[in-house]
Amino acid sequence: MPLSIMLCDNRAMLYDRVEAIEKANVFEPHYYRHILSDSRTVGDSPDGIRAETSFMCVRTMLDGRMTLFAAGVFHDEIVSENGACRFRSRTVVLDASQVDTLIAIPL
Amino acid sequence: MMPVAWPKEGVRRIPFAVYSRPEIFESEQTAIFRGPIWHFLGLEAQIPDVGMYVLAQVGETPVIVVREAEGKVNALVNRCSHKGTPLAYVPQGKVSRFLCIYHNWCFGLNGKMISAAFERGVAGKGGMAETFKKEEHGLQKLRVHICNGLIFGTLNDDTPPFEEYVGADLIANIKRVCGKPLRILGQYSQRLPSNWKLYIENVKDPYHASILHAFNGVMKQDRLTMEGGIVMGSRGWSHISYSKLSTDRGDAVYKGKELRSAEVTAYGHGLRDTSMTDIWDDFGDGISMTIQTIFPNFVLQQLRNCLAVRTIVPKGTHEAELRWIAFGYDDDDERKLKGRLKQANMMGPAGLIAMEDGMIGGLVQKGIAGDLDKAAVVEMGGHGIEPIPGSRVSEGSVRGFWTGYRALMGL
Ligand code: FES
Ligand SMILES: [Fe+2]
Repeated sequence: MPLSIMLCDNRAMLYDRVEAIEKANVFEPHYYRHILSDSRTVGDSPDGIRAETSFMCVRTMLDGRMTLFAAGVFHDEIVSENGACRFRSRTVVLDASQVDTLIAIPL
Repeated sequence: MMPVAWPKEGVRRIPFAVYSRPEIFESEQTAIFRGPIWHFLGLEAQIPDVGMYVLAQVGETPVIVVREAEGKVNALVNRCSHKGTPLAYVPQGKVSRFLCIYHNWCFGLNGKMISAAFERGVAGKGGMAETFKKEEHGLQKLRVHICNGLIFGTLNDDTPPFEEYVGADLIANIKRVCGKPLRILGQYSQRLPSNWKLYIENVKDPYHASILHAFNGVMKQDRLTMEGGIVMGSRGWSHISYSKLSTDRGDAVYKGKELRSAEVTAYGHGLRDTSMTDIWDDFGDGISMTIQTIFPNFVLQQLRNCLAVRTIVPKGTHEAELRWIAFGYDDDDERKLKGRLKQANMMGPAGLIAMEDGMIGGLVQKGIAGDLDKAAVVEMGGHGIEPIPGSRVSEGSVRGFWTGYRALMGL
């Protein structure tokens, strides 16, 4: 199914999302710690490579409450530009379709 | 005897105890969820073929919604009549019958019992008692009503007919939004750290929409200064809140110092990207937003072109699950499909507009802890449930919810 929890497919949308999180949206402050593993390349893309990385994300609230917030896999497209590697796109696929409370900061 | 005495002021006071007391949660299961209500179970578009099913939850009661035949949908309690094992535990699927994994009792798509394993024993020995009659052990069925592809069910014999329960104006809006074949775009759910009623109250409260959701106000998505109103369903229990985008007259009010959204100047020039503002009029009536509830826990949402249904599943006094299904139409072209998917950034757990709704109930419940004998004050727009024509500056629809709640709970 095509629906995403969050969808930004151009630079302007990314800006809007960041600005909304910083200035408009209200949520209990928290931060994420990502644990990454199993990175591997899975093939070529028109301008670079496609790669996958598994992740777990721990969410910590300011009072110290910690939750294993999400687990899943990143599907990345990485291109090389002037000798540097850059992400062209990142699709985050969560293992669960249920989210605890809200997702403010993108995973 | 209920552990809560409702304040003498009536529905303009909400005793905090109704959100937090376990005895109240228990009584709701009988008086509301197994009481005379119509509960949303799913969309016909989820089960287009014979044998397709989805699971639903009516309060604590697990339910299977299955297509038995073209044009025939059954809702069965998901509980084997032998010992109670759920017959289906994968959230959706396609089956030819329901076969219990425990001792292989078998039921048809209509809930009738077909067979039991070793019914006649083995080699003439053992087997079910003489007294056992399969006809007496079918699955418990819910009465079903389908309204433009929305499937509702009730566990109670006394529930009035759907039309009477909901009211003609609300039926008309269901027809407006769901009147042609739906295409499901996806689904997800959120765990809410609060009592289920704090979420439905929030949905029924147009007062907060442009204040709590600063994004809403500055994006001019939904401001109380737009032309709009509240329409009440039967007995005031259900409602529609609507507004027209093209009619905003509110900059003066929203730039006033008292509103937090006015402080958010970042969007003074609008969004950088036009994906979410590039909208069209789906229904040809200029109404850009409708939020409709059906008592007790169903929401039909039209935010511009972002369409969805939501159901709140109570899990405990301080926990609920909010289930979303987003949809468009079968005849959407590529542009409309893309547009809906982009506008879906407004809804759900990461919704630019919706995200605060997921947490605000949890905050309220933290705030009221320790003083459950006190009450909330709900007097915007008066004391009653009569809508104010042309205005949404009212909590009348919230009082309408509590009118229904009190009637069923006997509070
Ligand atoms: S519990 Fe279902 S067959 Fe025994
Ligand atoms: Fe809200």
